[in-house]
Amino acid sequence: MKVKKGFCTSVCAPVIATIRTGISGVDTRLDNWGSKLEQKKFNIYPSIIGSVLFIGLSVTILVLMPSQIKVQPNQSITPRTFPALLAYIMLGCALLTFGKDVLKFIRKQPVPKVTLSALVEVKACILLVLMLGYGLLMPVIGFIASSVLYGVAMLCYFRVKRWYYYPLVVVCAFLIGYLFKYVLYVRLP
Amino acid sequence: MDLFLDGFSQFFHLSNFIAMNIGLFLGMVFGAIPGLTVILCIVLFLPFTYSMGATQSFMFLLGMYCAGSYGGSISAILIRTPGTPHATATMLDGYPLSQRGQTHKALNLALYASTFGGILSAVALLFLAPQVSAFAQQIGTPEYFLVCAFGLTIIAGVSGKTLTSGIMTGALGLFIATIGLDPMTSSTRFIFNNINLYSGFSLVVSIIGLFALSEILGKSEKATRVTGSLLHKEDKDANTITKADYKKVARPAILSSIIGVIVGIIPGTGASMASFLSYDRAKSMSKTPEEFGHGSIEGIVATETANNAVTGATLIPLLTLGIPGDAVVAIMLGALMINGLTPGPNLFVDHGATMYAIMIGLVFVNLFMFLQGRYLTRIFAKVIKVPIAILTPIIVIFCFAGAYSINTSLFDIFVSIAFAVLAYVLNKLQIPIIPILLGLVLGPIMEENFRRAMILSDGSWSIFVSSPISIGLLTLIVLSLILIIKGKIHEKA
Repeated sequence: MKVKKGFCTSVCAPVIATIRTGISGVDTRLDNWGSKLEQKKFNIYPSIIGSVLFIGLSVTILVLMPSQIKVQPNQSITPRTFPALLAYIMLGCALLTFGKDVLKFIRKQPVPKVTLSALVEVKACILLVLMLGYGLLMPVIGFIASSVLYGVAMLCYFRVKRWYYYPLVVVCAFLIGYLFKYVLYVRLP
Repeated sequence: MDLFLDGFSQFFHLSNFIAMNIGLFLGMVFGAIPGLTVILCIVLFLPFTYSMGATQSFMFLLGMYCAGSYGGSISAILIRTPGTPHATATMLDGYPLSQRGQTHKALNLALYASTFGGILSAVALLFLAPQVSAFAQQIGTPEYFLVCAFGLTIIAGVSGKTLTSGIMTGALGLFIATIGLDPMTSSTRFIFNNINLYSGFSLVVSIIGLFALSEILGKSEKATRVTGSLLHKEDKDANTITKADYKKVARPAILSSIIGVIVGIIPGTGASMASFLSYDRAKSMSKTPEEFGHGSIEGIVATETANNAVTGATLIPLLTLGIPGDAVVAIMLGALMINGLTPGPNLFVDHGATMYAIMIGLVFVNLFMFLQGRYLTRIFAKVIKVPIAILTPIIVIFCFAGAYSINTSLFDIFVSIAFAVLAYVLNKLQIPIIPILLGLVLGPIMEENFRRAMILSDGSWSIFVSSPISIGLLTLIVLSLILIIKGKIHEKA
């Protein structure tokens, strides 16, 4: 037993040390990227961007409406009436907000600004990509396997170093899968 | 009286008590963990209500709603981080009291106050809802459209920084609700030849995206664990609530519960407003106002009574008019609809016994909340140490399983992600998302009543000013708009 233990220590210890060095190297690199991204800030005018988005959306709705909602002629109230009314309300409110902000610009009055951090937005994009990947993997490898992969990926994203969190999340993925399958009778992929 | 007795017998089933207690436990856990919300809790566990009956599912959700309100105070008192927004006022005095070694006293006071406020609110619901319902049955389609418009306007007005942004998103929610087959003519609307869109977007799938997955996208920073050193050591002798303490807090408790009930009835106001309003009132009426902010027991009691007194009161417009007072109740309305209970003035006529069962159940929800709080607070206090890093993937797995389970469709998972992106972008642009939810919930009812009214009047808008009730409701909408605009101008100044 002593020989076995000694052998394990002599083989495993350098491997663990290499993995640890590798992880800390990746950590340092990520920290460097993070601090670089953290310094990158950009200002946006939320009300202007918001109103432009809603103007675009409501105009698109109104343009697409004839092709997307077919109506019978000679009717005063049709399936188009309510959505059209809503599109006009959105357009009206968006134009009002946009006009108000343009007027502030002309009068050189302060328009509310929001500072966004590149780091936070990049992180949100990574979280979104992970979610999309999870959704796309589900029909390919099944719910439980994709959930396990997603759970581990999320812990890596949060850079969790405590090893026991990983099996905990894996167990939870299995539990949720079985709960929906055998308690709620949902046929998960 | 018959309905009351029928409601009583419908409520007294073991399954209702089990559902209620599980809901209470989950609500307290989610309320206690900073970063997790009551909405998130209800959204995650909503799919579990599909296999339950109306009363059982409502007990389950009410348990989460009421316990979440109290749960927020646990982390506010222990670690100076309110688990829910309305627990911020509790934190002002709860944490200083905890710092003085009186953690147990602060937690107990919060629990007693929450239970008192909750029970009073449930009694108010039991007595007021039938009266409001009797009035609601007199209103016709144009008036009902105006009632919905009133609810949506108020919520749109108070949710965002500007009234226009709230109205825009409210209209967007209503528009999204129109996608799919038109219920009156069966013609398709904005489905882009996609078979998955024939029945429109599922309310639950949209909610999962808007409120649960968008929160995950918002967690773009590494979460940290609460360390034991943040928790204060207790002084056992100072933790008893004396007779003098009870005498001191009696007046603010009664006043705050009345404030909570009144605020709760008004759509769009919510527990936070009730908490701060009550805190302010209690401070101005106190004999020792200098104690406020430094561990005043009156402060804790005032805020906790008020925020739980809101819970029953928000159900009054929901159960009688089908108007949800806040986002959490709007989701509960979704649960009612899943069980085939169409919200609106006829709810009390068609499902009177179920309505009474729900109202009676609310009293018991508060009683069991007291018992769970009394004996399980130590567990909830430990729960706040669970790191968000572990909870985040579990929440997403739950969300995806929940979204998929509604129509056993992968399409719904991507719809929920799309709604999450929409909510994330709107949050960044400081545009409120709660009006979207209200629009989604009220959309089908509003459109149906609008179109019926317009068909009745042969396309004339004059139908909306044809009765005294309509004129009264229109005046109410205009007055509310004026008040909201005035408030916004005052805020900017």
